[in-house]
Amino acid sequence: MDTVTLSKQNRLFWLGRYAERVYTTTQYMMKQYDHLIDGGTVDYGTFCQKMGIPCVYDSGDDFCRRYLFDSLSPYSVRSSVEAMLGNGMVLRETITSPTLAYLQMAHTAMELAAHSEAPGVELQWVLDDIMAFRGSFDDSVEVETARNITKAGGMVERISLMLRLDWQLERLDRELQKLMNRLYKTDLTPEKDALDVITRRAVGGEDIDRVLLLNSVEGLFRV
Amino acid sequence: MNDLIRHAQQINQQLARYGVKFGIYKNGEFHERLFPFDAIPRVITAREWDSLEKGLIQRVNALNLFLKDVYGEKRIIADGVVPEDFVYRSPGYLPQCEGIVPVKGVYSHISGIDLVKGKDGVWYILEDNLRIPSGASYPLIARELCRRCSPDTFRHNGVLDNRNYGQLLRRTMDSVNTGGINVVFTPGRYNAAYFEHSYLAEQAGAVLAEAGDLYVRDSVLYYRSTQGDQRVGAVYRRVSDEYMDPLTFEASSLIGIPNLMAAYRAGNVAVLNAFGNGVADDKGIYYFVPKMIRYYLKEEPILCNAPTYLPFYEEDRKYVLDHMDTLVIKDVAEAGGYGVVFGSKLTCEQLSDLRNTILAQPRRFIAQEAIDFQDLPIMEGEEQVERKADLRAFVLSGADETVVWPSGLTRFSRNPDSFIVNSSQGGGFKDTWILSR
Repeated sequence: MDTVTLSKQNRLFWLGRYAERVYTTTQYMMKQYDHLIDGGTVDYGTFCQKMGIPCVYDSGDDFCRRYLFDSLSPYSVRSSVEAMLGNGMVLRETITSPTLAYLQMAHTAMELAAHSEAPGVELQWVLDDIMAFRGSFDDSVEVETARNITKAGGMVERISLMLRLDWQLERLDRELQKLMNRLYKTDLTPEKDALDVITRRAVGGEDIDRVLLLNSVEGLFRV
Repeated sequence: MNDLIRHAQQINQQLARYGVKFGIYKNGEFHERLFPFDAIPRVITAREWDSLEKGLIQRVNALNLFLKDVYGEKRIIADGVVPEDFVYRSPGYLPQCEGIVPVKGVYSHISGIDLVKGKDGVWYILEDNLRIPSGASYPLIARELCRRCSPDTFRHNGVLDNRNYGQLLRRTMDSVNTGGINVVFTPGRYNAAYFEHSYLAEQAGAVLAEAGDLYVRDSVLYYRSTQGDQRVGAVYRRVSDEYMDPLTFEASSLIGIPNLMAAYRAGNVAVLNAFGNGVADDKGIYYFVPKMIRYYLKEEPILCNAPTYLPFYEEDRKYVLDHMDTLVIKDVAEAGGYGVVFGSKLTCEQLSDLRNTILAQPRRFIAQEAIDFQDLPIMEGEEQVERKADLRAFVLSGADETVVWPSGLTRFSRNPDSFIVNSSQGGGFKDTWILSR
């Protein structure tokens, strides 16, 4: 049995956002790690600027380590994993124990990665577990609205990261259209001005200023 | 059994996978820990269980009658069976509950009765938990995972399936539901037993709710939902009495539901367990439970209390003061393994201090003979060692029946010198097998 409360809406939405944040930033950081193997450099200053987080890192190595694993930093991927699991834990009876277990496994894998000298394998497990979570979530959650809220949260996060990091922008229009389609399957009420901007880009193909588009995506829902 | 032990590591990995944890606060910080699991189960034969089951039902039925009486006619006090001092001075007695009869007259819907088995083979009741006893979720999920890791063990041992706890809980809630949804009410993510709250909500098909999700209007409890507000018919609350309604109890509580007491008083919602049950599981009242059984049911108690003395009575006080070095002294206001003192472990000075405290506040303490209870084997690394263990049996009382869950939480001390088995003090848990033969 399940019913979606207003507080549950919020958690479902942020579960989707954090799961996507962990997934995308882990992928991104694995590429940075790989780059360091060949003696490459990481432009972490620009990364921090684009993400809007304080640049407190000393070197590329320090950035790769601490942005991923610093448990005291609210901006680290590890903290995002905590937040993802935290939102999942309070939704157990909605998402079911078997689905929650994948979040728990991703959390365990991230803890192992944090204590590993070569964390690439464990980080791959984090990605695997999030993919498994998504499949299980889709299969187990009976309330369609709940499924759509979490998916909408994931889409908002993905588009936000694309715009911030200029990452996979070739997929941007497709992701915006997916978000528009998903929007109407949730109980969430979008902000009108933000929706107008996104519609102009997604449906009308209008060239919208990146910052305006980012702010509109971030401000689409007040949850 | 050896197969199960061989798979112990796998089972513990599975428990970690499902996040089987409990929380503790240390130095003001919240930490979550995996609940240590030992693969060797406690085994109870069908014959032994038959007697335990009857005794537990008898005891809980008497306790329910006591609660109804003590907040109603008070016959047991008038007849001099239980002194009024032990009722009205109990911190669990709530005058706000006077005259209120909960839906269908059930007070303790989910009772956790703690027992130990003595070396003489006799089961002794250690205490009754009638407020919000926790722990059923751990053996429930552990059984599922043990079966997964070692199916042969269960194919060959004739163990009663215990995975029906969710259905039993649901049946209990449905039987007192006043018309509406079933809700498990939790104080939130940072409660020590949050895993259990969310897991039982899932298993019982109930909605998990926190303070902001529920409200009372016109003496009816509602759940705020995006599909419109829904009436709540039964709420299995995992929040202590004093925090449940800031307009009736602790005014500063932020985790309660204002006016819940009005809905409860009007009979518009069943609250599991009822408010004010603490008066019946007070350590001082424990002494009187066999008398309650005789008084209300006209039966002889099937299960024994541990030999208990009340310093409140002059004769008992004299005995306690003369034998303090061999008795277990319990502060009736404490719980969770706290406030329990073994006289044999106190220095002369500490004994003297305790003696003075007992003389000054005799109602505050009970004293029990230290039961020489059976140790259970646990695995410590590759080695099998013996440790103290108890059993919490779960008894569910609905409108029409009282049943005992054919399992229970067996907790053990990991410290070889300790009798304290509570998870908050480092204890672990085992599965409890009830055999079909």
